[in-house]
Amino acid sequence: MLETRDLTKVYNESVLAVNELNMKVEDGEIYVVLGANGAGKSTTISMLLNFIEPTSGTALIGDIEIPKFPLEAKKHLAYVSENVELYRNFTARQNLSFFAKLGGRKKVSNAELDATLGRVGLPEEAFTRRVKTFSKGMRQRLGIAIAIMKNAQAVLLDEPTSGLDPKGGADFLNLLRELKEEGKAIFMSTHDIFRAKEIADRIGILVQGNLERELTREEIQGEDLEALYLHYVAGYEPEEDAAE
Amino acid sequence: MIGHIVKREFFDHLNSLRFALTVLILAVLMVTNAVVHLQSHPDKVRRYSEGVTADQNKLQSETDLYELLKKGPGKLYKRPSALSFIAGGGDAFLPGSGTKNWGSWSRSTGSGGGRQVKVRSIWSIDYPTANPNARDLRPKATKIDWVFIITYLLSFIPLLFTFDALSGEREKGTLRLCLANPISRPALLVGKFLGTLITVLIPFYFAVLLNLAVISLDSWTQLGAADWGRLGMILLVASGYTSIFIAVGLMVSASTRDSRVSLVVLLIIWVGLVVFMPSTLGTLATKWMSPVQTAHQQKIARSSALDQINDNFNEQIANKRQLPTSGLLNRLRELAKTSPEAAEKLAKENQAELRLAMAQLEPQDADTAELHIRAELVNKDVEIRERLNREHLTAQLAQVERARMVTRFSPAAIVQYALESMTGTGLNRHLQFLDGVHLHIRQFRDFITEADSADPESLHIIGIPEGMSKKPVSPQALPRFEDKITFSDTFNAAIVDMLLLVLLFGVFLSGAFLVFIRSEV
Repeated sequence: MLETRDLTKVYNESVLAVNELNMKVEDGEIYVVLGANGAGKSTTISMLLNFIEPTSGTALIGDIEIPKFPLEAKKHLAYVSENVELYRNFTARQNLSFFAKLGGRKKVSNAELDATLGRVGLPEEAFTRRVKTFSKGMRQRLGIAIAIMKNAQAVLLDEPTSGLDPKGGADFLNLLRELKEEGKAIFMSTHDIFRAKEIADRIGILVQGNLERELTREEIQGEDLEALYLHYVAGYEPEEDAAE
Repeated sequence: MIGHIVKREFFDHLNSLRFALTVLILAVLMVTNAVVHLQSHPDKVRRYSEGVTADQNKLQSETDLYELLKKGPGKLYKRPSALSFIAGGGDAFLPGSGTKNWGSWSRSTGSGGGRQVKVRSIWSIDYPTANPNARDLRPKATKIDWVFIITYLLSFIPLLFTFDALSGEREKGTLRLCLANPISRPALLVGKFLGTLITVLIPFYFAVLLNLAVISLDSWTQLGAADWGRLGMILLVASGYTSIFIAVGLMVSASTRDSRVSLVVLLIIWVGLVVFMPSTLGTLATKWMSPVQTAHQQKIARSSALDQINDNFNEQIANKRQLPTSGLLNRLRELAKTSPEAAEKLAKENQAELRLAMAQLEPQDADTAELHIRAELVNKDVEIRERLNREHLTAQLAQVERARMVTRFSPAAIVQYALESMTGTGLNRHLQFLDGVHLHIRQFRDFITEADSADPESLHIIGIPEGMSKKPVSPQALPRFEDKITFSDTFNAAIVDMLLLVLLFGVFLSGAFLVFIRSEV
């Protein structure tokens, strides 16, 4: 379980990036946070991964307080970032092996590496190809393979579907569903409300660092998510617009 | 965990074009250095051996004690270092010997007594200069020794490998991906540091092995155990110097988000630290120092001091010959008859006059007194010349030392001085050689004094032929000068510079840590 308790970040003592964020991602749940640029999505993920220290409040993975025990906490967190390039001179297999070892795996067999690469849909011929020849979609698949290989309790995804073609996006969501089935707590930030609606168990809408609204799966299905998103993010009122 | 970072870093660089170019450039330069050494070193060793043998033979053929004193120990040669291919040490600007051969003067004076008094000079220490008449001391071409390769390339290459070490990973997003794992920032930085260090040192050590393999073909360069020890220290110093620039590269790379900015900043730092500071700071430093006496000024100062003692000498000789002593002797004779005690008192009061008076009565004693005056002139002449020469040398060295002190702001200058000291070339080596020369000259003069003291027939007036022993000297008994380069001497001379390198490394690595820990990923 991934949890934040009054998690706050203020930059330079004046810019409020995240304000007393309280949310909980249960094991086997996909939590999607929606928000415009600068809403605080990436700052939240950065605090969850201890890239930056929170100004106040805390975050937990299981029982481990992330700001206090970051190295211990990171053993249970996997991360997939937007547009990751990986090590261009290394093959897919070498990249995966390196990050698996960095994640704490002592020995990784080629068979296990290949199985993971196959699972994320990379063609076999790409296993030993240098990553600099990969398309963005292939790199994203490799990124999720790295997260799978770590076998962490929670997976954090920072706008992972941006720039993917429809098929790539659909495949990506299927992989997330598989991880959910395995009982992982998945926290994903995105602008993509359609994919969010398709995959999320819960959605949080972040506006200027504040969690303005939280929707359950049932609420998501019943709501016009696009209108809701525009209402919170841009202050846009569709009814008024239509009346004009 | 650090091991994985080191391995990844190393294999990543191994696949890069910059690694291939590094191997190629270092290998070519090191082989060039070895080939040039093979061509020039045998000549240096031959010249040294021939010079030493010729001067030793000349010295051995001399058995007269006064002649030995007069001509001195001859030229004392500086042994060429077996490791001179590592650091030339500006040897072209430093003399290859510590002393000059005997240059004589003789003087006659005959004032007063009508009898001519002849005085001949004896040998004194005169420090030779390497380029006394040169108007242009600039080297004809850049000397590709290890110092050049290390100072320029082992500073530039680490920057090429580190400029994007952190900024590049930040741009690609791999830094966040790495740090999302249970690895701390300091551990990541250490891993990157070690990975780059291994990447740079492997081509360097490979080029060193090539260099030594070519040099081993030369029978004139025989490396002993101490030489290998010094070589090991030199490689350690080179590795330390490389580490400094890796730390600088990581520090700048950690502080920027754009690799191009990082590269530009590092190039500016490199030009400042390695190219600009060592040359320009030295020149600026000497501009604010009081100038050293010119050869002409030195000549005037020496002439004035020597004229003074020459005048004193003439006065003493004249006084001696004109002294009205007969009155004193007659009075003493009369007084001795009536009151021996009063006579004794008078004699004591006028001791100097009485000695000369007696000498006039007895020609042999008269000569002895004059011998003393002549010896005094000769020895004072040596003392003045040596004092002025030493003062001039000290002033020159103080100027050089100060310039070196100022240039030590640059790691390139520090590593150059450390390498020269460990190699046994350059200024520190020359100073050690001069210490050896001074010690030998003291031993040489002590030997002459002792040999003279052992002869009961000698008058023991050192400095003039009539006052010294005529017994032949055994050539085997003469002290021999042998210039040696020992590990401890070279290490002691380099220790300050090596500590400075360690200090700089500590400063830059701490800087890299601080910047990286505070930077955003």
